[in-house]
Amino acid sequence: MANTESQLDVDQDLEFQRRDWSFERIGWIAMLLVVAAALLGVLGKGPISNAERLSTDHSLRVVYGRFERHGARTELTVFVRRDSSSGSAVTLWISDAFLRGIHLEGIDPAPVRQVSIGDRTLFDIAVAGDSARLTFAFVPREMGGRRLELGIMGREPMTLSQFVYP
Amino acid sequence: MESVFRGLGVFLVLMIVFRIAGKRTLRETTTFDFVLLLIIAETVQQAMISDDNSFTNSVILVCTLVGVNVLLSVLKQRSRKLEQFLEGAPVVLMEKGRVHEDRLDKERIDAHEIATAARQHHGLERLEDVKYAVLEKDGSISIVPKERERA
Repeated sequence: MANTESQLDVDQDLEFQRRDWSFERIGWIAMLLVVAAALLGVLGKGPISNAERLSTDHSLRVVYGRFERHGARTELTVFVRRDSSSGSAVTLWISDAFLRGIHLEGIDPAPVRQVSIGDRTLFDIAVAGDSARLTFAFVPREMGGRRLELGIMGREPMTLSQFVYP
Repeated sequence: MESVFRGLGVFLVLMIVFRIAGKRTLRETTTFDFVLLLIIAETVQQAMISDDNSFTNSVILVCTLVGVNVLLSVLKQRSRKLEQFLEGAPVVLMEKGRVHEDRLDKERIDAHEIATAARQHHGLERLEDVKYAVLEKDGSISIVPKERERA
């Protein structure tokens, strides 16, 4: 297509070009926002993603990430508190709906016993002192928003939500 | 199935990012552009292949990427709007010896780069010898020299 302002046979389109330049600049801002979001932890590990929740009866404290990424190894740490009624072992349960969406790589320290009952999996934890820690190392296998239900047997359950990016 | 979507996703993202970055981004192939290209290739490779190093997966990915490329080239040929959108359009930087400073600014090019192109391709000594300079879609600068007045 001939250019109107010169004899040069070039496919120039200044109207399009102006829009293209604006598009470019909007794109730069978008890229900047992606980096900023990553630094803040909206796209994965970082300040906004790092979360800690305490159950209403204080029996359970969970440190987890609100935002995770598909295929990226991550952790979830549970702190359980023993009360006078429980013996030397505490049973923690986690919803199978959550466990099915992850590839569990390891639990540290290893639970005494691990059984699946109905729609949840139980972990018997030996508690020597007042409290015990249990760290689950896992790789998310499903994308999108997910719910994690967990609790100590016979105590108040807790529901957490996590978003997994592709 | 996942491989196809991974391939398409990476293709789309790279297309948008390089479109946003501007025509000259990987054109100049200075040392830094070269390094950038290598780093991007390495980063993206992980996302596309994930943990599947099988032969089948590589065949799927190659077919997906080349297939999209062919499909887009067919569509681009049919629609000028789409071609412009995907590839951008050439910009006239110098016209009848006059430099369009505003366009240079927008494209982040300075007059030295036009002079370089003029030297490299036409052996021109000065910018004044350039009649037309066009920033092509692929980011190269093409030059039309002024006809020399000979005695």
